Amino acid sequence: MADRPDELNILVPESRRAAVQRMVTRRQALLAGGGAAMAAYLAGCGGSTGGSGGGGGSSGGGGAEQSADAKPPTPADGQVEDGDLLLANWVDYTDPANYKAYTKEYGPKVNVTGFGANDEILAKLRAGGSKYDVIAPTGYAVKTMADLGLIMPLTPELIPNMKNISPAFTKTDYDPGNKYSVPKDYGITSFYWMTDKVSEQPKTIAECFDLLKTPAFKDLRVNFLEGGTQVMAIALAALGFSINTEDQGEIDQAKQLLVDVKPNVDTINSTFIERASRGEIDYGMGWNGDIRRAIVELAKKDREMVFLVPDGPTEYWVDNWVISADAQHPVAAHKWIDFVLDPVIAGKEMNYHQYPVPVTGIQGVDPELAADPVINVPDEKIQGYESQVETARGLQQRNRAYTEFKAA
Amino acid sequence: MAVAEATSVAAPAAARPRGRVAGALAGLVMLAVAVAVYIQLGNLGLGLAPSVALLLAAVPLFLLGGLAIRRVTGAERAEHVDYPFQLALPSLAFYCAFFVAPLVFLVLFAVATPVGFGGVAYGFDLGNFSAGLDALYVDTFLRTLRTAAVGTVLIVLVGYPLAYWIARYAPANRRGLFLALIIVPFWTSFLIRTYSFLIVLSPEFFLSDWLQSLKLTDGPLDILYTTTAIQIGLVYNYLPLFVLPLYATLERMDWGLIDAATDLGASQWAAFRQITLRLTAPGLITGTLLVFIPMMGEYVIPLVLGGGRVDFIGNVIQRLFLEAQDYALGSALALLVMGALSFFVALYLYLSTRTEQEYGA
Repeated sequence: MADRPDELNILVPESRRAAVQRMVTRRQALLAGGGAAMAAYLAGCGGSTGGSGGGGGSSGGGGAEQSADAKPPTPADGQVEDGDLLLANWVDYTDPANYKAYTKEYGPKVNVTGFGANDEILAKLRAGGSKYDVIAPTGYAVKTMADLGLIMPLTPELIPNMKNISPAFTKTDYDPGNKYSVPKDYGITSFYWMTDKVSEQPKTIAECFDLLKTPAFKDLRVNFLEGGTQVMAIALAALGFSINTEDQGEIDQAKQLLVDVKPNVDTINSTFIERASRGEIDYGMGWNGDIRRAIVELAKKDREMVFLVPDGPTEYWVDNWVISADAQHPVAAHKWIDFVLDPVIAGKEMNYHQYPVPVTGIQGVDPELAADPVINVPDEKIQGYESQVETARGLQQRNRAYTEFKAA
Repeated sequence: MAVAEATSVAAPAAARPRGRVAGALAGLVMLAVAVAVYIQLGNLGLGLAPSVALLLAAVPLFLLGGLAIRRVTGAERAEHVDYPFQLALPSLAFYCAFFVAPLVFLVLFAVATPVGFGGVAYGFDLGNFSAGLDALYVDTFLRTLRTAAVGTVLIVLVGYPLAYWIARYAPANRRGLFLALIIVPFWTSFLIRTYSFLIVLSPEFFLSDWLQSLKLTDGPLDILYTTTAIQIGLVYNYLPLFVLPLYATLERMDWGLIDAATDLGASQWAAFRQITLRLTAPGLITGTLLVFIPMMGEYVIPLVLGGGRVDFIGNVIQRLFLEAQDYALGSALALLVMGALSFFVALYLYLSTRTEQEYGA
């Protein structure tokens, strides 16, 4: 089906063009790739989709043994290969002008494939034959991909700008010493609301959930992010548990919290930014950079939305650039990573997607954006937040709980 | 006519039942052997490729076995043996590549043990099926069933009069145009048609204004992201699939029969019920099934128009594959759904054969 959602063409009135374009935003957990897995199922039901979805499952040991240390990751001469650079990125998550600038500087055109979830791109990598060069996974997925041998160790000599990475991001839990990844940007997950609809001012994620239980919220339009790991992480944070717990009792309590607020939740959708920007969501769960876009849009119409940078726990995440072990253009891929770590390019990136880019000496960032407390989260608060760590068991527990939440 | 047919068929039919019972028993024995062999195959601890190769290699053996059983029990003699089998080869190859082979993968995954992150250890583990029969998934299946059933009824209510009108009352030289009007939207991508309804049903679209000015709704249209929106999306997207086969049968209707019936005193309703409805039953049944089965597998419409608030069984299976990466449980659930839907297909085969025998195609 929509294998390349970045090339989706939609027929809409000219007046709605900008609005529809904005719908296609980061982490659009759309249906891209859903087709692949469904194919087997549809074929069984007499549907018409052709591909064999089952092919996605390589056996357990298959990927792990080709530990990327074994082979030289890049040609020694460091010459940029011929052919396009194939980049798998969250939808609308890099300034298109930067793709062009890269082509101008190094030669290869940049071909972008969008994806909507870390697990989706992981599934594609495991299926093999995807031929991506550069991928932009979240921290926990970097670890999973590295453990499975799906991404290659970086060659630091080809990335002189590695020295620009903010020191705090060189010793992450998921990839200490930036062996496989360099940080792209980072953000937090929390709640936002329209001040003309919600007068309360919750300070923590727990208070946000308490508020959601009040009957007054029945009439408000409430949106949640989608995805088991995502939603469960926030529910677990509200209860003060580790967002990475595998304790079934804690998982069940978090699920119960979600079930309790479900009657007041109207939509569960990660493609909400367009609606939020038009003020059609009164209260919801979201990522700070996306929400900042909505806040700026709404301010133009004299409406106010606030994003809570919570006291106490919530989820904190770092998205990264990595190079696939199957990369056909490893040198060009290294050049891309070097390119985006350049302070000027990093500044353009930040202005575009509005998430902080951890590059020292970053240049040209809109001063208002840099100073905005929505994305400029103080260190002492970040200390209290937690990043996701992915385990097979945890993933199953969360998916099950999420399915129960959806069924409630 | 009917009597003559019955007697001519009666002689071979009498000889067949006993042969059929024996054939069915032999088939069951063969199936038991296959399952036993497969369990042993699982215990060998082979990788994916050898398992699939072995399973596929077994298929011709079973085909031969089946043929032998038919020959021995005499089931073969009663049918046309001179049908040119080669004609079926292209479709057979297609179905083997895109239906049987994926199905083999699905079965292999369904009885394997998940080891996390999309990995499975091949073996014979029925745990996935008992997990798939959990109340959580059964409830989701029943919810899907209910929505698809309501959707099908709505489509019949909308589509039957439409097809009827085109076939009977539309000017003959305009029929092609009306059919084209039904088909053309169908050429647009399914995804885009679904997304377009986000705009159509939004409170800011002119539909909402019209409904308000016609005093049909009190406030702005407020059905986006509800079950109603899902239902509307289902009906809109699948309507052509129902109208076309139905139109095909309605077009062949001899309306003189209706005139004759009313001339002889039947009311319009009685004529419709006793003649039109029965003669178009095959098209009606085909169309109904053609929309009902895909609706059961639907997962785009609930996601887009339902605001992702509730799951269809398709969404659950999709998430098991793509998010939880539990291919084993996902495959088992997919097979269970297929099993349940096979019931409806069987019902269809039974009903369509019966109506064909009674009223002609």
